[in-house]
Amino acid sequence: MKKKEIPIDIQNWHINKWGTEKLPIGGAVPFHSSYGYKTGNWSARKPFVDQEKCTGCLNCFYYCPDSAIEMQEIDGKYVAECDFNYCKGCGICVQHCPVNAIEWTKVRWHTK
Amino acid sequence: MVKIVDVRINGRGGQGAVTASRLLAEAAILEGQYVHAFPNFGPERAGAPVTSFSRICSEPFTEKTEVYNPDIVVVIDSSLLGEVQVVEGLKLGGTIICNYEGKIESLKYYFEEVDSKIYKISGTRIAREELGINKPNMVMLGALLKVAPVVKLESLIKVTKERFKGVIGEKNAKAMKRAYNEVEL
Amino acid sequence: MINPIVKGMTGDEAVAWAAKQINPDVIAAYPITPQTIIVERFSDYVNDGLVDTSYIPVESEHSAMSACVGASATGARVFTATASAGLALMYEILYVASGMRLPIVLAVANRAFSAPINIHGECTDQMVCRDASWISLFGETAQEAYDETIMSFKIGENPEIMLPTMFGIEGFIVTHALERVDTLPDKAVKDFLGDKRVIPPCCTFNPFAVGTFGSLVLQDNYMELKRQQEEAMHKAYYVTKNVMAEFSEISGRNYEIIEKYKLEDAEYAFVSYGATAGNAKAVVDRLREKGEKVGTLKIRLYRPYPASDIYEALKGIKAVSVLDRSATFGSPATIAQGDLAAALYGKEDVPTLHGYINGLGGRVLLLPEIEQIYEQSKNYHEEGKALTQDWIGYRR
Repeated sequence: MKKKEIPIDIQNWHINKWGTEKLPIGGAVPFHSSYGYKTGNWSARKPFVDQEKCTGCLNCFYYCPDSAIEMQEIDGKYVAECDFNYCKGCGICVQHCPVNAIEWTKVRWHTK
Repeated sequence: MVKIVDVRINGRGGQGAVTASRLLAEAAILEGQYVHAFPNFGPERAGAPVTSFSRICSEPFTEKTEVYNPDIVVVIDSSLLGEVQVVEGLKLGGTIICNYEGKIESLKYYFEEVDSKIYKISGTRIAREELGINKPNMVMLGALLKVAPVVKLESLIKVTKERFKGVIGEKNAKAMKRAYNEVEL
Repeated sequence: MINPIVKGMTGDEAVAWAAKQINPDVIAAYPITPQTIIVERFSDYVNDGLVDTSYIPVESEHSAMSACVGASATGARVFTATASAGLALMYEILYVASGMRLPIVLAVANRAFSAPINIHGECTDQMVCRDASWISLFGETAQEAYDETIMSFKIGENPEIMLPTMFGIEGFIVTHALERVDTLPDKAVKDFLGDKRVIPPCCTFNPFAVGTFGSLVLQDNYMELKRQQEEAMHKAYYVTKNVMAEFSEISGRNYEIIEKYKLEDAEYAFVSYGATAGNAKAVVDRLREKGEKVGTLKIRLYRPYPASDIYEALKGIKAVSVLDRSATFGSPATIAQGDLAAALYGKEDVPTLHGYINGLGGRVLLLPEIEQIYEQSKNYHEEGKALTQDWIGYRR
C-alpha cells in the first residue's frame, strides 16, 4: 500500500493558522486519508511482537483500531509488526493475541 | 368596501361539514373569488358537534380569524338545535338554514328571540331518497345557494363532480338541484 | 410574468404541491403528530410516481433531520417538514445542518409547545430556533407558503450562502385553511431553481471529492467556522433580496423581505409576522376609514434580520405595537420586540415600542382587540413610555 503524506495545503492550514477566509466551509476536511497524521507519540506503552511466537493468525491485524499492525513476510511466514508511527498504544492487540506473542512495554521518549 | 360573506356550517362529525365548507370555497375559487375556509379543529370523532367556516369575497382580503359573526349559519343536523347555540354570534338580520323534517312553524320555535331569516329544508329526506345514505351536506349547500347566491349552482356542481367521481357526484348534483328548488322560508 | 394556474389549496397542500414541482431528491420525515399534511400529501405523490424522491419515514424528528443531514451531505436536494414539539426534537441536529453548511429546506407548521398539550397555531417553535444559523422566513397565506417553499431552495443553495432555510406558516389558520393559490407551471419552477445544486467540491460525499465531515474541531478552528456562518448569514440578506426580486418578476406577485402596508404617511404602526399581519392589515383598513393615520409592517425574513430596512420603514413613526404570536417569559421585551429594539437603538427619529404577546395556543387575536392595542399604544406614547410589554386576549 502506498503511504500518502498530508497534502501541502492542509499542512499550511495547520501551520499558518488559516482564518475564516481560507478555511473550507462547514468544517469539511478535503483530505480522505489519515496516513499523514502521525499519532505514534501519544502513548506510554508500545506493543512489541515476538516474531518467534507469532503464528500469523491476524487477530491483532483486525482488532487494531488504527490499522497500525502490518503483516510482514519473514522466511515464508507472515508475522505481525507494529508501525509505531501510527500506534496510539491502546493495548487491544496485546489482549487479543492468542499466543501471548505481544509484549506490552513501557517506552521512554527522548526529546531532541 | 366589498362585502365579505361569512358562512358557518354546524354539523356532526361524519356528516361532511368540513367537506361542505371546502367545496363551497373551491366553487368560489373557480369563479375567481377569494376565500378562507377551514374547520374548527379539536377532538373530533363521528357524531360530535363540529363547525367549519367559509369566508368568501370577490376581492382579496387579509383577515385570518375564525368566523365569530357569520352572515349565514347552516345547520346540517336538527338534533344540534337543542344542544349547541347555533345562532351564537349570528349577525343581525342574518340567515339560518336548517335541516329539519317538521313544519317550519315548529322550527321557528327554536329561534323565537332571534332576528333572522329562517329557512327550512328536509335535507335528510332528500339525501336518503337521492343518495341512499344520510349525508345531507351537499343538499344543504344546494339550499344555501338558493337563499344566498354566494356562488353559482353550476360551479358548485362542477367542483362536487370533481371531488366525487362518477355516480356519487351525479347523485349529489341531482340532490343539490332538488334542494335548491325545495327550500322554504 | 407567467400566467398562473389557480388552485384552491390549504397551506399544507400548497407546500406539498410546491415540493412536488421542485421534486427534491430526498424527504425524511416523521409521519405522526405533530406532523402536518405536507408530508402526508407528498407521500401520495411518491406513491403515485409523480416525483422521483426517495421518501424516508423515520422514527423521530431527531432522526428525520439526521437523515436529511446525511442525504444533503451527498449533494442531494433535501426537504422536510415538522411542527412544534417535532422542531424542538430536531433542535440538536439543526445546529449540525447549519454547522455543516447543508442547504436543507424545512417547512414548519408553527404550533404551540406542550404542556398543556396543544396543537394549534403559535410561532414560539420557530422563534426559539432563530439563533440556530438557519435562514428563517414567515408566511402569511397559503400563497406565501407556496412561494416561500420555492424561494427557500434558491436562497439556501446559493454557493455563497450554503445555509439551511426554514419557513413557518401558522398552524390551522394557514396550514389547514383553504385559500386561493396561484401556482406556477412545473417548468417555470424548474427553470427558476436550476437543475442541479451548486456544491463546493469539498462539501459532498462523492467518489471524486472525498472528505471528512463532522470532524472534531476544538479551540483551534471552531470559532473561525462559526464566524463563516455569520458572514454567510450576512450575505444571505442580499441574496434573499435578489431571489425575492427575481421571483416577483416571474410570478407577478411583489415580494420583499419586509412588507410595508400604508406606512408612507402613518403616525402609528403595527409590526408583526405570519398570519397576524393579515389581521393587522384588516384593522389598518378599518382605522384608516375612521381617519386614523396607521400602517403595518410585516417582517417576512426574520433571520438574517433586516434591521436597516426596518429602520428606514419605521423612521418618523410615533409608536409601534409589536404583535408577537410567540411566548417568552421573564424577558425584558417580547421576542420580536427585542430584535426590533436592537435594530432601532441609538438611531434618530425612532418610535416607542409596545410589545403584545397574543394568540398563544391557537387563541385568535380578534380585530377589535387589535384596535384596542392601537388605542393603548397611543396612550403609552403620550405618557412617554418608550418600551412596554403586555399580554392581550386572555381572561383575568
